[in-house]
Amino acid sequence: MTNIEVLLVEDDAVEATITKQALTDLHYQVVLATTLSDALECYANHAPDLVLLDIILHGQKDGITIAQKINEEAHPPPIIFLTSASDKATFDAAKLTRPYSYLLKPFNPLELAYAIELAVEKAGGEPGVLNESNAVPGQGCFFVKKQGAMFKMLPENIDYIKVEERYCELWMEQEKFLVQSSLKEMSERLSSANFIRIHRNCLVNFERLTSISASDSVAILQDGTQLTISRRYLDEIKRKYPML
Amino acid sequence: MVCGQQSLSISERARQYCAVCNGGSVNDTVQLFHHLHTTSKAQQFSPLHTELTQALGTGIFQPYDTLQYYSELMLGKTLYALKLPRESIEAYEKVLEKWEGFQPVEQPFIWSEIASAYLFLQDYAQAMKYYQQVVQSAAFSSTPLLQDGVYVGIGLCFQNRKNDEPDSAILYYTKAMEVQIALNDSVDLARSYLNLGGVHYEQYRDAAAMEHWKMALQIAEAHHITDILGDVHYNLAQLYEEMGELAPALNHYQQYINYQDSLWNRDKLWELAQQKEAFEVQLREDEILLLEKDAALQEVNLAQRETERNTLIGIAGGLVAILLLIVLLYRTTAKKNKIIEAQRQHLDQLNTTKNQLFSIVAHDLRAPVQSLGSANKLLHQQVSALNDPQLEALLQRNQEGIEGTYRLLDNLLHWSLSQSENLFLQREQLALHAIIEQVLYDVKPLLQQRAIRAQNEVPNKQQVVADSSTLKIVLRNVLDNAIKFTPDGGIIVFQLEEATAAEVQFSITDSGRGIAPELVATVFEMPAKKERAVAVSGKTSSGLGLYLCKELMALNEGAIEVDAQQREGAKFIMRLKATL
Repeated sequence: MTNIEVLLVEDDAVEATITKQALTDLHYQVVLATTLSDALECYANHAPDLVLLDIILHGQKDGITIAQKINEEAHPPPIIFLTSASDKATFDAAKLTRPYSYLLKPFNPLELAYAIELAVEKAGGEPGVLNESNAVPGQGCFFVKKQGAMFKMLPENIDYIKVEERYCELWMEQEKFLVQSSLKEMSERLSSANFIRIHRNCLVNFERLTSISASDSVAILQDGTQLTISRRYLDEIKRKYPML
Repeated sequence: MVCGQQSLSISERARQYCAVCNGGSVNDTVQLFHHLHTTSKAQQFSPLHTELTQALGTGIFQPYDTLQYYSELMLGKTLYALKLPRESIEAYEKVLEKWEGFQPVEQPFIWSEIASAYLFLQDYAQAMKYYQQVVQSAAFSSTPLLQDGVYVGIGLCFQNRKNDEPDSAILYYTKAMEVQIALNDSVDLARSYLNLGGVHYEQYRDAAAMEHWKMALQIAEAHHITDILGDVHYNLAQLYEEMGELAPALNHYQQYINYQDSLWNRDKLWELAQQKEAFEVQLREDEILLLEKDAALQEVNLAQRETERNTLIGIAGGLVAILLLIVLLYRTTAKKNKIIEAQRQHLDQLNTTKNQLFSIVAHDLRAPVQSLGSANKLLHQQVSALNDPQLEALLQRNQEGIEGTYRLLDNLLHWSLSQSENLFLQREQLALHAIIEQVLYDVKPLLQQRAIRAQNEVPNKQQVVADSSTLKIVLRNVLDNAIKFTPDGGIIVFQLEEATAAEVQFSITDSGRGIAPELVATVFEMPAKKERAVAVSGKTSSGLGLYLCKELMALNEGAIEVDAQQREGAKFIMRLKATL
């Protein structure tokens, strides 16, 4: 499990300090930017999983400009606006950039955490999906919740995946997280890692495999988990990975 | 005794205006006129009458055209020829009246015609009057044709009038004869001799009578004027008989009978013709009657149409009056509306100004207060390391003061924004439990201080549809309210009351002294109107909070109300939509 990287754009030093502290307490990894150019540079360098944007930067609605630039990307991360203004004019301008959430200042850590979760849920699934047993797909990763904090799960962190009806069980360190997704969609999301199919409803992270028992048709993972291999896939696995 | 009389010819003058006869340009109208005047000349009066009536009735000629004039004259003449003297006089008099001053040369001819008609009616006074007019006219002395007829006519008048003036009659007959000789009109001359003889006969001057009648006989025999010959023989036979000379009398009777025989056939035919004519006259009279009836009918129609028109005018007038009334009313109303509109705009402006003022004040004050709060929070964090309880308590009080002020400003800002419809709402699916947790987070220190327990019993999964910012303001206000009226060590509970697919009901209940029944109805009203409750701390509330809650819940398509059934503490129930 990996910490989620957040780009915080905030020009007020006191606010920035408090917000950064709150984010850090929530196990987020924070990159702070205070100006428009600074923000764009940080975005390019860090490819953050989330962006928190103060709308008014140094008296200008630069936050909206930044959101527009980020939205030009192929797979932009969820954006959350932070603002102390609750008037229509400001929101109407911000709305055009289709942000996932707004957070009205001042906010407490719970509000901040909730706004981020809501943005992640809206970006990858539906509101209310994210909890201790469910994961939400993000860009090249899965967001999961653990002990009240949100983390991201990279494909290579996953040990194996089991499909149950409309859900996929993502198993990681003997814990499972449910994702509402088909196996086909899942295969596409996992393309960055080396997964192999061993059963009609099971994908295994190749890196986690320790051995295969051809006689018993069982795959054994590093943590000792034993998974059934179906006869159909056994030959293919043998051909692809003859050393096993 | 039989007399002869000759009529004047207008048709000769009409001919002068006929384009066909004079080689002018020809069209249908002209062609018709030619046909009419030639028919007149041919003395075919029956068909002429029909055609004239038709032509004049349909208005073929221009109303004041010369052809119309002559056609009208021809009608007079035709009626006379058809032995309708009264109708003839009427026609002629109409012409005289209508065409006054037109063709003055012809006036004497018309008078002469009228006189002839009166003569026919044996109205000698009227006939004489017209003949006198002719005699006095300028054209008379130079128009022998006129003189002929007029002298004969006057002679007939004198001869037949009651106050017999035989000498005058003789005088005029003689004058006529002079003209007739000059005109070489043997027929008229013979008739004049006949007439003159008659005058003498009546005066018992038998020799003179004999002489004149013999002259008439001579002329008539010379020119085979059979009409006159019969009369002359008859007169002579009578005269000889009276004179006792029976042989010549018999001879003349014989002659008379011969002519009478020869006339007989003609007379038979004449009689038939007469009968036919009488029949035609009857027909014509019927026609005239019909036309008159037509005219009467048309008049009635006209009258009816006039009545209709008058009615329409009346209705139109009424409508115009109503329209004017409406316009008047409209103008009055418009004026009133204008004043009302002006007042409304003024009030709107005042209200907008007030809202803007609130908005500006709240917004501009909120930012520094927030900064103050943030700074204070940082300071508190730094100071906590020093382990100085007194200082920390001071900072905590600061924090509370700042937060209280901030919330008041926030309420004020949201209230003014909602009033000016400037509030932004982003309604979305929210986890109610999480939102309540977030609100509770801010009051944790206060709750700890007052030893009040706050329980969020709303299930984790429960979703509602609302704008998170405004929902939080509502929750914070009802929570503040609950804390305010709950004694130390009390309890505040958030509960799910009822959840359907469409709506979610949840509540906040405190263990305070509750809301006085008489206040239940007014808790959501404008601060100025309601009695403010006194908090546990002894402070009174601003009263804006619950009023704002009601407004904001309505904007979120939900509602908030007091549960009046609640016996212990106060219970507020809130409703929100479950799905978008």
